[in-house]
Amino acid sequence: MELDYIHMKNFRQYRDVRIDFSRSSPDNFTVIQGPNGAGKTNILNAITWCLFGDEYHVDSKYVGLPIVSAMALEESKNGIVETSVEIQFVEDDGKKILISRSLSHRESAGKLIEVPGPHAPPCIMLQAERDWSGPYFGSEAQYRINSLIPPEVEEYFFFDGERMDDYFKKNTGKDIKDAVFEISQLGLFETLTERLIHRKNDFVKQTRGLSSEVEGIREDLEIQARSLEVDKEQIEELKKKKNEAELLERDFSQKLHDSSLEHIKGLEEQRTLIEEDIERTQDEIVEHEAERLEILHRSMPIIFAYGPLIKTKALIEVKREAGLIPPMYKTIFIKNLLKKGRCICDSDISQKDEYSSARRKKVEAFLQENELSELSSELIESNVRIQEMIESIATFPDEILTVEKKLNFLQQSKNEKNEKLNAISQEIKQSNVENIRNWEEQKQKYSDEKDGLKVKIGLKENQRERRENIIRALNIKMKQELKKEAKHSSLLGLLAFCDECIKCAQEAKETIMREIKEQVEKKASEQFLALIWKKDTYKGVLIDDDYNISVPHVTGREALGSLSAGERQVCALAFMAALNSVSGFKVPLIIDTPLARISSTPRKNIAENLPNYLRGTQVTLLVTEEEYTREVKEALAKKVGKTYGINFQEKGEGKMAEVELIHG
Amino acid sequence: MSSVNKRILETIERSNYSDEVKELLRALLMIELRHHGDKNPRYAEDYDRNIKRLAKFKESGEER
Repeated sequence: MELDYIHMKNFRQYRDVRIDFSRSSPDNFTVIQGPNGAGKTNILNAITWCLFGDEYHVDSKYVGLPIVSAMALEESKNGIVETSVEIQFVEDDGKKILISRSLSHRESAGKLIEVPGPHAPPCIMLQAERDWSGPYFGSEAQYRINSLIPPEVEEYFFFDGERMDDYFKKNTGKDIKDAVFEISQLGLFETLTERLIHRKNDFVKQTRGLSSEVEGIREDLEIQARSLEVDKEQIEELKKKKNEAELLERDFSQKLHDSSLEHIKGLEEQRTLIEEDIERTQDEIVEHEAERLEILHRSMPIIFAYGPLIKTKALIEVKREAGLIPPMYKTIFIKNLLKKGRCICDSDISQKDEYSSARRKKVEAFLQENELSELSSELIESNVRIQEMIESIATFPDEILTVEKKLNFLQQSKNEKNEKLNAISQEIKQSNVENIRNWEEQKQKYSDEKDGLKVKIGLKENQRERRENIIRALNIKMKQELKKEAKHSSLLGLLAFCDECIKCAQEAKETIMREIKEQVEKKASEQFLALIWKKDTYKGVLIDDDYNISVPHVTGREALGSLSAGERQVCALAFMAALNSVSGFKVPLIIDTPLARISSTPRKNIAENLPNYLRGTQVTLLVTEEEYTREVKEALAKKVGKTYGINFQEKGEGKMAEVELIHG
Repeated sequence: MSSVNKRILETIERSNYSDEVKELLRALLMIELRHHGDKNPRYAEDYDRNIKRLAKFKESGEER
């Protein structure tokens, strides 16, 4: 889907402006150029207002101001002024989608009054095979628009360069996970699963004629399910609080980092490095603890059974030394001899004379003895196995000691680093600048709060897991009870089907989540390395299981916290473009001031690489003259199909902007 | 006009789930999309109708 045109009437500084976008690939880039404050971001706002009824990128100076053009209101002399935005998209098959929203105002006694129109906004019309379908208004139109571009993910299609710089400063792993959830619509899967569980429980609740046993299980299930809901809500609440504490801690850390006092700045930088170091040490501790656990799992059963094993081995040895094992002949061989009437020495023992009878009895006795030792082959095998087991734990003391030593060393190193952190904190607290002391206290307060909340979350998650196990067991019990009564067979079928669907929905969600994470990481990394000017400085972009973003320096040190504003913007641009490309939605991109915080040389590099990783996507760039330098123009020359300039002027109280086609 | 993210639909499609499970998941996703953003969506009736229909269909298929 591509943007065809936007037509704004009386929308903030735009009195009557139509912009046609360049659509034909390869030159499907449109550049709209204007100075700061001319109204570039308001084009972005006009789009989100038209689509979703709200301005998502409103500048602080416009907050609270009506969207209607002040100049148009003044000229209308208390008459009605209609603000409208009309956007036309073109789908891949050439069919058009026309979306519009309008709102009328009039001024009365110095107050602005909204005048309702004949139809609830927005309005959408869709080009069908022969004719147009629609117009659709109000909630039906909004539903259709949201299907094309979900409002929750608009920021991954309509980027705001200024905000991008703050993206990783303001967003935690959970926020980023939420973004992945939103962009892939996985929230729908989660709600769907929860509702399936509710419906399943309701099917049992609605069934009449349940036995008292089933009724009891159902009541237990209901109590547990309600408690599980409470657990989940509490975990979410705790996680929210933890995120807030984490962000505030990061804020105060940044304040100290940006301090004008070199000494404090240095201490904060030192602390950031130590904290990263502690994190790495902690990862190593976790790794070695897992190794210790593995050694214990492998060796402990043998250690506990050591006494009986040694005793068994000794008993087998005694038998072996007595010549009872292994047997000299296989039982089947002796049986065959007796059957044929032959002795082991091949003499005939089939006769009934005294000699034959005596020899026959000897062979029979030998067979009996041999049958008794038939277990001997198993005993021999056991003996070998016991020997192996005993030998395998011979290395146990060394193995466990090595791991223990390593763990002690790491723990000690972690303690030392923590002591250094405390010392830094104390030193900052003793600063003679009040602000610095306050910031440090606040940082410490939120850090403690975050740690406390982490523990609480862990405990609550354990509780939730236990409850889920109880529910699982109760469900099995319920099914067993229902099976006893034929009249509940259809209910059993329904429950089984619900269970299957719940399991499949959960599996599908996990698969998509994993695939998206891997793809976003790969693409963000590729794009970051393509756009960044310090080619040999960073390894790429990594996303861990908790969706925390990291940018490892080639030395292995984490560098996200120390990226410059321009580098951070590039990282966010790469990350958002990666999210966009794996989202599954084909929506044009609009990027507001993409190069504002980037110095001149890297700009050229970004301009050269941008079209490559946005290949096939229609792009609109809203730029200032300072950003759109000669080098950038040259780098984008083959991609830009249309260039517009915004002419901005202030007349009395009002402002007015016109958009002029410069090229295309 | 496809309204559910095509990645989700593709994942369901290429899975080994039974046809009835696939159909139910698709139907429920559409219901969720329709009610997305509603404060108190009335989804129970739609859910029950689809679950019962497809569970019955699956059962008769297994019997056949």
